[in-house]
Amino acid sequence: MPWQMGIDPDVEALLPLPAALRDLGHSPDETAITDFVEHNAFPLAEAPFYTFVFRGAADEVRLRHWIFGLPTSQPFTRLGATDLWYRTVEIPDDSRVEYKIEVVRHGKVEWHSDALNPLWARDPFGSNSVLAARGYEEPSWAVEDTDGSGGTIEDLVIESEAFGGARHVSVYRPAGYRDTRRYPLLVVHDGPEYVEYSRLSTVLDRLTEALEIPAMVVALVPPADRMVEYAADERHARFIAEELLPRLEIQYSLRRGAHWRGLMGASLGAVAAFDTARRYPDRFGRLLLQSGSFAFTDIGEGERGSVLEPVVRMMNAYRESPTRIVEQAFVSVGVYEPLVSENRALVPVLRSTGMEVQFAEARDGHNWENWRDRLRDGLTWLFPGPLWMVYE
Amino acid sequence: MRRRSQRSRRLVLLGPQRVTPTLAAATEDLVAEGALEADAPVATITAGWQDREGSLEHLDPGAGHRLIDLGLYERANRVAEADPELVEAHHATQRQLKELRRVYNLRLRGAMATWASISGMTGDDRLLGPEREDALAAIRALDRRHLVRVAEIRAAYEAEFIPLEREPVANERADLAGLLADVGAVVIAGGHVATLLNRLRMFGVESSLGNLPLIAWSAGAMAIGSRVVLFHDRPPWGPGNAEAFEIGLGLFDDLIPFPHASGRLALSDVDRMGRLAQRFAPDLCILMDEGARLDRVDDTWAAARGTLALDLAGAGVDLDSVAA
Repeated sequence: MPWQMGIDPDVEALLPLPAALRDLGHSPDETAITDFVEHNAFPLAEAPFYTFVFRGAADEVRLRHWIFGLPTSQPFTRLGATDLWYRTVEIPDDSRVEYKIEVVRHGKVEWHSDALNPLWARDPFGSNSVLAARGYEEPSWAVEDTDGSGGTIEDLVIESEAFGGARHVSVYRPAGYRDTRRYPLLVVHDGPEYVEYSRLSTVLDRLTEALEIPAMVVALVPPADRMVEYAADERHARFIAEELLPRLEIQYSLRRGAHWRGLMGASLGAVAAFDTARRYPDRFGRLLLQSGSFAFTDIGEGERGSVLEPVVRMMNAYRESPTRIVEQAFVSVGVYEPLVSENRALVPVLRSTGMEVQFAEARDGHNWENWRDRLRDGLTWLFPGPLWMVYE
Repeated sequence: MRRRSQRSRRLVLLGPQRVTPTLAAATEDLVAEGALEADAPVATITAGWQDREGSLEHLDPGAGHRLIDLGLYERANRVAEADPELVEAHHATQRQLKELRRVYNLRLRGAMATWASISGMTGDDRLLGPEREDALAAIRALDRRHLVRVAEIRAAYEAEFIPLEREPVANERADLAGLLADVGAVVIAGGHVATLLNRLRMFGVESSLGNLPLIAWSAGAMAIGSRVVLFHDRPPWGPGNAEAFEIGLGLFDDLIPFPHASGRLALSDVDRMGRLAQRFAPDLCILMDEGARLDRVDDTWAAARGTLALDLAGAGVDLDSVAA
């Protein structure tokens, strides 16, 4: 059966009700509903079917999810005359879906997290509830180790001619950092957000400890005006390549040469990473691009909006005359996000230049936990650690 | 259990020392049997720890023994500064070996996948059996050929540059000989096995050891065998095919240590483990987890209780049952 979100009432009627809801009957009393809510885990899971449940006063209830390609608003059904609402959907194994519940009452619309589901994810705009379908597991290497022996993060202020003012950058130094050793460098766009929402420092700690990546210095770069600076802005590339990089090489013990340097970013941050590598192909040898906003057109300027206009121009020009800008690029994208086609389209273009490219897709959306979950594959491929050689 | 060995030096191979240190027990046993004097200093080789070389505070050599680190990693750095020509020649050799290794792994990947596929096929064993054997033979031949090529490249480097006779190396060797003259045993710790092996070879350590008892674990145990086999069944990338990486010092040649076996090998996948054991037979694949220990006395190996080897079916068993 293809994946249905219950758009068609006839199809919806065919979706099986989970046993727990069926057992409740059509007109349960308050006590029975309370018992049902207290003794089940939500969403109710009978893979591949998942039933979202809401209890409360409402005129309408809808499921709002972030799955590109499907109507984002799915109506719940009210159970008889009770205050219990439900919606069953079929979701493929290994999926991870972020969602909210929309409640309409007296003409007022409000979005809520799912009060019955303890799983949720944060992002810069707040938080979403999370459905982890059968087969999805939060990676163990993204869970903080309790021994507290990880790297440290310190602040750096750089006077930037490119931007005309001071820029603040955070720098992750691995545990046991020594001036007598030289380290690879990774520059991460939206770095503080990666730390906050994708647990980047924990991931670095764990992968380093497991010898899956080498100990490395990681510059966590926040933008001041993201929608401008990250959209193929020459000033940003100049700042990274001509101002930040030399400063880091003075201040930290870094390995020299593009081979040992990488750029990373997600969404528009991936565009900024890509554009920096494109403008300075001799400076960086590794690219980690997640869900990049690689908008392009095959004819005309497109209708992506003014923010993406510089990106479209840059990508169109690059697609017209692609060049080898790094040695290796790791590209990942969620199949439930609007950018999946752009990212898929980028891969053969990059490969045509002789770059080594790894491409990873996941049943997830445009969100920080998707990006977190792909970090091990990306980092260990771009910066393989000494695991194979070390036997302590 | 007992298994005949080729050489006579007193050897002790230990499991990893981080959680269950057994070094002190090993030196005590050497003292008890008269192979080590009770108050003799013990030399350590910790070059595998790279820039942590000589950080001996967590090593307990047992009462009465003082540790003296030979500092091979640092000595190699000194040689590099003093003899740029040798360093460049060494780097050129390393580049050749790296390229050779890349090709070997490329060939190995296909050969291993083929063997695993044929091994998993069901049908007429009279038909499939010889095909399985031939697929295995191809891998064993590839392993052999790779190590022969490695030896040829090394021999060419040594014949041209005679590194042991170059002054900076010879000076370090003379100093090492002085240190080794005063110790009662040598300990080789784990770490980065290529770095360790490289330093051991650079200073010709094997020929300076005399008949001193040797205690080694993890990368140290790997480096002194005849074949250095790299392995990890669950690497973040790639199929995790064990790799006949290098020729070791050859202080033993009838078994291959697999340190941290429980963490690095898919021991529950008996088919995979069986293929590992068959590939390297007749050498025994020894599972060297924490607490494991093998002693070689008078050409014979003895295993501590719980130290297991892989049998040809892929099960971890006492050495008695596979050595017979």
